[in-house]
Amino acid sequence: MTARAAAERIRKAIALINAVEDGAGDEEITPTEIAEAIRDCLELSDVDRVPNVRRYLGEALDAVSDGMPADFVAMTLYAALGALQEGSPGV
Amino acid sequence: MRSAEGRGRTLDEAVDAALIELGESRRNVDVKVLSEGLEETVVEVTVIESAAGSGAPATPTDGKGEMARSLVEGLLKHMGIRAQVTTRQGSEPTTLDISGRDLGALIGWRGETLRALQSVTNVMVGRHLGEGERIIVDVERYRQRREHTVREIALRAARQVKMTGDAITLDAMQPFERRAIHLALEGDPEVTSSSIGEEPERRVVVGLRKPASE
Repeated sequence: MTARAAAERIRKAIALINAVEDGAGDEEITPTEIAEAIRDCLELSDVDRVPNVRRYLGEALDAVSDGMPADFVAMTLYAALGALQEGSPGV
Repeated sequence: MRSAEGRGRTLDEAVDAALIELGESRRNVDVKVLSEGLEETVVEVTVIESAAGSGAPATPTDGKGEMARSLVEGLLKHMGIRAQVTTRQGSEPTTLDISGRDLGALIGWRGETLRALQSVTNVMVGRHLGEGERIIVDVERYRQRREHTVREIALRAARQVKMTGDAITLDAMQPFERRAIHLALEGDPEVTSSSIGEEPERRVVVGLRKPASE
């Protein structure tokens, strides 16, 4: 697995949240699915190679569990994506 | 609000006819398809108020809009981006328009940076917003232009489907783009749209509407 794969999984989790927010009318996404997508990211070893990525992902997962607004979860995931991109140029 | 009716053989021709009459560019208008036939398409083109003005900032419509506008302005300043932030008048939900030069970086890959900015904005003003209330952030009317574009893609796809009878799978799109396609085609009695696949590769399929069961 590469940092690129980790970035793709984080993007997927963000896309799930955005899908709920934008109400495309064809979505049936539950918080459980979003949490699963974040857990998929946490399973990758690459998230430990770059500082703060695991921390942000953990915060995002906690935010989903706590029922925080989707925007907050998305923002935390964007922070994780940003940290990953900073630590892995070219991602 | 200025508007004009345009007629043409194709959607593009009809829109262009109305734009010439209004003396406006496509990015400053909203397009509504009134009728669409094999020989003629009729559209109503309406000038978007805040875009048609002299470029002066619109007066904020409410306190929340002004607060969000001021926060985003401050955020952009800290980012070293010179841009003007205005509240779009009469929009529901509240929409902030960011305009300036070279703002491509603020839109980002497939609008990723723009969405991140919108998320941050909603988190910043979230406690002042009601349940389910949101602030939409748009850069150089990117979202609006993209919605117009995908709506045109949807109408073209529908025409193709009616001619050939074969379903068409469009490229992977963001949810707000898929929503625009579903809305554009929901009133068409001959075609139907549905989404397949998983985010972020979810795609819209346009196909012939099945006749009601006998």
